[in-house]
Amino acid sequence: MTTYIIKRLIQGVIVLLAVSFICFLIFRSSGDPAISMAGQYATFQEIEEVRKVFGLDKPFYIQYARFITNAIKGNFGNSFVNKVPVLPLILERLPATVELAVSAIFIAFVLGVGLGVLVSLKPYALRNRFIMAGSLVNISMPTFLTGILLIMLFGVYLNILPPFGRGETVIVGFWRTGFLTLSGVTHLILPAFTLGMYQLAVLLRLTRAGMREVLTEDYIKTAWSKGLSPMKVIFKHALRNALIPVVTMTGLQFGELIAFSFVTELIFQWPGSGNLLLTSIYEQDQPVIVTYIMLAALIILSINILVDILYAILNPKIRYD
Amino acid sequence: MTNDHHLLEVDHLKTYFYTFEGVAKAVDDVSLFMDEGETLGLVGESGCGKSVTAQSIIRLIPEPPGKIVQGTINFDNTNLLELDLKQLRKFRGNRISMIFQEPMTSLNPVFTIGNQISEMFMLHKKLNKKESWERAIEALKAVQIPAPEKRINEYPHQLSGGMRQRVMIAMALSCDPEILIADEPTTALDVTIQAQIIDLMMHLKEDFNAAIMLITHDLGVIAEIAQRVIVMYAGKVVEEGKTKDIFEEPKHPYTKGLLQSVPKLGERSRKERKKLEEIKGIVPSLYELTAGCSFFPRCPEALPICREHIPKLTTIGEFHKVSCWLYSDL
Repeated sequence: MTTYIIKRLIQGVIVLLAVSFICFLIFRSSGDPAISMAGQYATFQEIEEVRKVFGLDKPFYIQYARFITNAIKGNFGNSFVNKVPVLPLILERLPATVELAVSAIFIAFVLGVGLGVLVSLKPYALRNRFIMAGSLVNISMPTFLTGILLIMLFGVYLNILPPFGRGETVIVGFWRTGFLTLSGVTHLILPAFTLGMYQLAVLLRLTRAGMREVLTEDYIKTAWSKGLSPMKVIFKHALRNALIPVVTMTGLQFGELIAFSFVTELIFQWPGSGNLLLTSIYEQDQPVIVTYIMLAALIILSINILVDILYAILNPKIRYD
Repeated sequence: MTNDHHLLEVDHLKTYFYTFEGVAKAVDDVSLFMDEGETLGLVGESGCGKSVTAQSIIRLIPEPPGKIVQGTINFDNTNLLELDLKQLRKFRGNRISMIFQEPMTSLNPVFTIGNQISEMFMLHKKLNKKESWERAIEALKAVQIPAPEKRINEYPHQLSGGMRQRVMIAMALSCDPEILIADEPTTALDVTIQAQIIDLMMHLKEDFNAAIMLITHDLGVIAEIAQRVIVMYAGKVVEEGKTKDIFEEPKHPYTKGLLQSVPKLGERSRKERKKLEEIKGIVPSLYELTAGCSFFPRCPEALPICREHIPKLTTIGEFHKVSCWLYSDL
């Protein structure tokens, strides 16, 4: 197990290097950074000076090596627009995104698995056919449409949930949280559902398929023959087996939710890092974009490794050695 | 011959499966009984309804598509077919337990065997976790698993097929059931292990004083250990009797055929190498049974009447019954 984790960590480093190289290429090829930094009205001499000061006249590989060494130190340069270091800028916005993603995946997992089990027990009941049809609609519907529809229904017509913003927040240490105020929680509901809706449908269908397969297994017959209660048979013996692929999927999706929550953040004016990314793309603020991509890669990689470890805990046949 | 002292009495049981192809009469009017501590063999070809009969007893038939259409199953003055799930659960595993054919897939792969065995004690004996665990170790000891304290923490995939079947037996016998239904417990194992498992079951049967319903198509095993035998064909009982009677004086042409198709060790080298007898044809599809005796199309001794009418189970000796027109009148 330890060797396996070390192997995975080494792989992770290689992937991060590859990502960093691609990021660097993006950085290089999307316009001359010297011009961006010197400003729109700089003279030719001023631009050349900037180029020299920042080492942009050096060969490609030296620049890349510098980029990497700085990145390891956590220095991703300054934002072109805000003129402040990029990393703290993104990290300041990250808690909002993480809280949104955690809430979304929580809703998706609890409701998805719960409904999935329910549907699997009586797959042909009318109510369950409706649930399945609903999940299909959900999978097919783009996030922005889900978001707008939810805002219209709950924010405008029913007027029971705030349609945008993050509400009141409290700072705990370095973390700005919305979980601790009522306003923060009510503001979270709509965007979390919007973000989690698609995942909910995916997890529901996955759980249903897994449960239907597992329920026909011999060991389920054994469990019934032992005289166990339906709760024990379904939630202990069957669900534990059906959950193995579901947990993997949830983990993979969680990384994506954090990294790609910007559509939801835009719709709900959520002050998270996804929204920052969008603004930076409009303003061609490359350091922010590059750093964001690197950070997203790091998050997705770490979650993947965590999922692998969790997988081994859930499935005793996998021991990775 | 029916009296009130049988341990288990199945009467006119009919279990049908309703599928797209039609209704499969997997068990069609089967009656049988079991006495305390006896070993009853249930034999027949694949698909003749042995397993469905056994699973109907503790109602493990998946519904739908299956359904117990008719009949009573009396055990300890209770008709098991009338119980709701909560009452039924007090019988399952506790007083009537079951072992299945596939030891490879009958244990849950994600729980340790200790977890799966101790579950029985917590459920039926209301013991706490620690006591149950200790009892589970004892149970493993009883089925002669070496180093049970170590094995108990292992997962099913770490054990061999024979070991897993031992675990299944330990689990099935953990609550001293009165009846153990063994559904082809040795079919999936190799021959030497088969003998060990059968030996073990017989040995434990003495200790636990449980009645065993042994479902198999291995006539050798039946001859060895069963006191009575029931021969099934296409969802019906065709012959029933003491093991000695069935093996020495088989009456039904199907039983005779079954016995002739068993190779006898060494016979072919002593006598000329002649072909092993077989029962011609295949088991009829349960969807399209004929009006008369369902064995009629394959029967070497068929009479004209066999095509028209189903023969009744007729008593022809002490405990010996046969369902064949050769031995009964209209």
